[in-house]
Amino acid sequence: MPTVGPFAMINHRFVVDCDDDAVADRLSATLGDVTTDGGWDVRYAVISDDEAGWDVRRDDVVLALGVDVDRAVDALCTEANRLGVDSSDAAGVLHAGAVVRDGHAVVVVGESGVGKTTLVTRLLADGWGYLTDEAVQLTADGQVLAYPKPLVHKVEEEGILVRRHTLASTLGTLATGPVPVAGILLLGVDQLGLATDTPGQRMVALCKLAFDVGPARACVDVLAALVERLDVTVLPARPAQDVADRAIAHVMEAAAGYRRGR
Amino acid sequence: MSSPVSPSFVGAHSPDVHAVDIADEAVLLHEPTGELHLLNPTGALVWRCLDGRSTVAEIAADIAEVGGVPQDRVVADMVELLTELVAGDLVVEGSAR
Repeated sequence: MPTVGPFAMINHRFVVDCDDDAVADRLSATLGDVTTDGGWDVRYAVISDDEAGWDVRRDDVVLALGVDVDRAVDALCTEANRLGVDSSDAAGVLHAGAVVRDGHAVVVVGESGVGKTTLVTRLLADGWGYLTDEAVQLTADGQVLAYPKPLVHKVEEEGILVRRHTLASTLGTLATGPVPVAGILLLGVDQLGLATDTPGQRMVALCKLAFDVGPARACVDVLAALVERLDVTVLPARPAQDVADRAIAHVMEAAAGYRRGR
Repeated sequence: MSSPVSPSFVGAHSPDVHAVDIADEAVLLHEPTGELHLLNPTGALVWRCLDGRSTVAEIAADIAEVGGVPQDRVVADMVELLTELVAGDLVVEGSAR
C-alpha cells in the first residue's frame, strides 16, 4: 500500500496510507506544498470501501465513511488541522481565513457563516495568495502561521449549491511559515452582540473568537499586543465587495505606513 | 450580604486576575473562570490606582484633584465600580497602611 507524506502541519507531521494510486496522487498534489522530510507523529489511512467510496481513519478512529475523494481529502485535512490546534500550546489561534500579497497577510476572522470563505475565494480570484480558510496562529510580534487545507467553497450550479474544492497547489503562493500580518478583518461580530467601538472591545471580540487552546493568559497577551500594533477593521457579516475592498486597501496602506515609520 | 466597599475600603488586585492595558482601557482575565472584563478609561484608571494600601477616599481625592471633578462624585463612582469588581472576584480587600 503506498504511503504519501510526511506532511507538516503546525505542531505535527503525518503520513497517509492509501490503497489507491489515484487517491495517493490526489493527496500528494493537494498537500504538496506542505510536504516535508524526516519523521512523523500521526498516521492516517484512506482505504477504498468497495463501491461506496473511501473510508478515512486515524488508527481506530473513523473520520469519514464511504465518501468521495474530495470529501476524503477534506476530512483528512480538517482532522489534521484539528489535531494541530488541539496540540498547540501556543496562544492566539483563531478560526480565520488568511490571504497574502506583497509579503503581507490579511487575516479574516469570524464565526462560521459570516462570509470568510466567500471573501477569501474572491481575493484569490483577484490575485492574492492563499494561506488558509481554516485557522491561523497569531504571534505577539504580528506574524501569522496558517493551518493550510484545500479551500472548500460553495458555488451555485443550475440552482443547486455545490461544494467545490480548490487544491492548495493551484492557489498560487502558499506560505505556511510566519508571514507578517498587515491587518485583521473582523466579520459579523455584531451578530454576537459584541461592541467593537474601542480597541479594548475589539480585543475582547477577538478573544471570544479564539480557540480554547493554550493558556488563556498568553492568548490575552498576544491579542492585546496585536490590537495595539495592527489595524483591526470591523465589517458586517457577508460584506459587500466594495466595502471589503476599501477595508483591505486601508489595512494594506496602514501596514505600509507602519513599515515606513519603523 | 452588604457590600464591603465603602470610602474606607482598601482594594487590591485579585491574584486570580491577569490584566492587560489596551490604550487607555484595561482587559481583566479572571483565570479560574476564563471570563473577560473590559474596563473603560475611567475604570482602568481606578484599577491602576489600586495598590492594596490606599483607601477609596484617598484614591478618589487624587483622581478628583487631577480630573477637576467633585471628590464625592468620584467616591460614589468608585464604590459602585469596586462593588462590581469585588463581586466578580477581580478585586480583594487589601490591608490599610
